Amino acid sequence: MKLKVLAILTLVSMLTALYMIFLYAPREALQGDAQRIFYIHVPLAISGYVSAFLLLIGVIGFFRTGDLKWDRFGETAAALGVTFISAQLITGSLWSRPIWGPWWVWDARTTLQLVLDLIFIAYFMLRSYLPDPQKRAKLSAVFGLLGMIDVPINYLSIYLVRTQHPQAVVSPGGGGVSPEMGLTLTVSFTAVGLLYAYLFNRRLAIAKVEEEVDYLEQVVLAHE
Amino acid sequence: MFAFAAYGAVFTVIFVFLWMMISRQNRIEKKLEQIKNQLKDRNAG
Repeated sequence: MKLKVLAILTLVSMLTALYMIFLYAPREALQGDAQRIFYIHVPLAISGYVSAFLLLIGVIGFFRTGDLKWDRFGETAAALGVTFISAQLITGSLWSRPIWGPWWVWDARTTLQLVLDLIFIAYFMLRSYLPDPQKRAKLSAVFGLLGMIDVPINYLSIYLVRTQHPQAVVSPGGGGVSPEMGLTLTVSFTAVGLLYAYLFNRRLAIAKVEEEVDYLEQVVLAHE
Repeated sequence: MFAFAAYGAVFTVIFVFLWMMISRQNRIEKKLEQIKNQLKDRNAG
């Protein structure tokens, strides 16, 4: 029931966001329509940071309790991290081409974001080689910590190093955006946030059932 | 054009994620069904 409500809210907010992005938000004077990528690029990037943070919570939870539910929690966060950051990197490339010229720029921010995506991918590669659940949870938890180390460096990179990537316009000290653009970005953040929450809860529920079915299978086999 | 391509790519990535998630759910349901049948056969035997 909770997931159904979340799914409906996600769908409504996504349709509203799309309407506002393409029909409500004004056309940016310098970048033209390519600037509309901004409304999805930024929320996806923040979702990547949230994934790293949730993975950290999963890692801490597992090391404190040894309960595999925290491993499931971290694994779900990492799966969403790969998805949202990969999508964000694609949108970044499609924004870079008309505005900067090249499809990809190896500056600090873009490279560290790619590194974060690769950390999540490597996390899954590592897990696939470890069949024992306890050992898998322990080793991948250590690896998952790398993701959280990347995030603060990644976030601060645009302030610490000269980068092609611009500084955040909606942060304190940033250039700011028009009220229409600000509202569109807020709705887009809400839509991506709801989508994240829906996918996270659904995937987590599936992972829990999978573990229970695996356990049931072992019990049945043991009694044969 | 680039904006449409970007949004298209985002929806494609999310669609792939959803498809993988639903496939996983179907695999689990199939496995559960097999376990149920196994238990039924055992009880009948």
